[in-house]
Amino acid sequence: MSSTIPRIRRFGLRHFICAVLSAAALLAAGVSPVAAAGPTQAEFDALKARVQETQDRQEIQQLIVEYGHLLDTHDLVGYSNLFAREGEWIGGFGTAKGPKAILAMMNKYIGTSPFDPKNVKGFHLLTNIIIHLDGDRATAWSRIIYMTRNQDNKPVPAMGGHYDDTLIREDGHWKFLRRVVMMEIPFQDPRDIKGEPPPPPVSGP
Amino acid sequence: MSRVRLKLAAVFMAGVAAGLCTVAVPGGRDADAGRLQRVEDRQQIEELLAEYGATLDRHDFEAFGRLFTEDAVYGGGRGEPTRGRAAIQAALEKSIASNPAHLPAPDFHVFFNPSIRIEGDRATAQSKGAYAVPDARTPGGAQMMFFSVYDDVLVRRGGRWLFQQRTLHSTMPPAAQK
Repeated sequence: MSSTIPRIRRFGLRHFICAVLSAAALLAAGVSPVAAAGPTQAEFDALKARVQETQDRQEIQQLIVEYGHLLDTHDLVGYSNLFAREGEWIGGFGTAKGPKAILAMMNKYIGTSPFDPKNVKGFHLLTNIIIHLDGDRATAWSRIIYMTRNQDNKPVPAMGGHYDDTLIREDGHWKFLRRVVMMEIPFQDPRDIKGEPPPPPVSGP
Repeated sequence: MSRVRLKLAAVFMAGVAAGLCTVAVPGGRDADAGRLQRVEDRQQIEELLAEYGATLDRHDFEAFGRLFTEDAVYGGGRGEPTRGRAAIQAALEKSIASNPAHLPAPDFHVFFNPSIRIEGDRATAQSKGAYAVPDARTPGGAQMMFFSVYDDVLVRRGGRWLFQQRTLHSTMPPAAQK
């Protein structure tokens, strides 16, 4: 302070105040439009909703791919947990409801042998995913080609078709509420198995 | 330091501060909104590529036509490219109904490897696709044929991404086997 005050005196208090005021004015001019242009609550909510929708789509895509990966690597417990508490699997093995029942069904048909990466029986190719979001629910349609090893030790498509899914956000995670496995080549409508009445159609394409 | 210099320094610093405030804050917000927009665009374009197969597979040619702009160009194969939404819709409907390759039913499209570059309201994409059909050699079996590369130009029209140009290049099997 002892050195500043004489310096201010030397340059003149008037000029110093002038400089400080002009700086303040420029700062204010620069800052005030920013403050005025800050997002309104409505803008913020709209942005938040877009981020949420983007994340939801990505998580559902991930769920659909995880389904194949966990089956391919024989992680049937992880697989069964992709289903909601009331989640249903409807496919060539029949129908099962809830992770426990789905696990029991897959253990029965796929077996409990550990995954052997040197002796892979087959794997899922999952593509063409189309998702329709509706809050905490969604529907999805996607393609499946199941590849197997043929007699010449080459990968060949064994069957192909599509999945009709209904998804639900449960405890913050997207899960299958209903998955219908529709094989087209060779054709097999799992809803025809055991003469069960067909379920209501899943919306979307 | 002269009075003029002191004044100039103050004005300069104020200017820097003001510049930082005006550029950094709203620029950051616009940049964030732009990043979100590009992620959304990518998702919508991926779904457009899937819808191409889904609409054809269920023979919904009207919905198929709506994936193209009015002035779209659809090319590939041997002939001249097809121009215009209505012509493209009619051409694909005719091609699938007439089944020139005599494919046994059922059949469907599968797509892979989408590579998408977005520039504002325009994008280019390259992706691969194949056709799944029953395999006559193994009862109940499937086979994949007509592996293709798709070269696309996409545009945003009325908030939706559409094909403005789609060009198919066949890769396998060679043309002689078709």
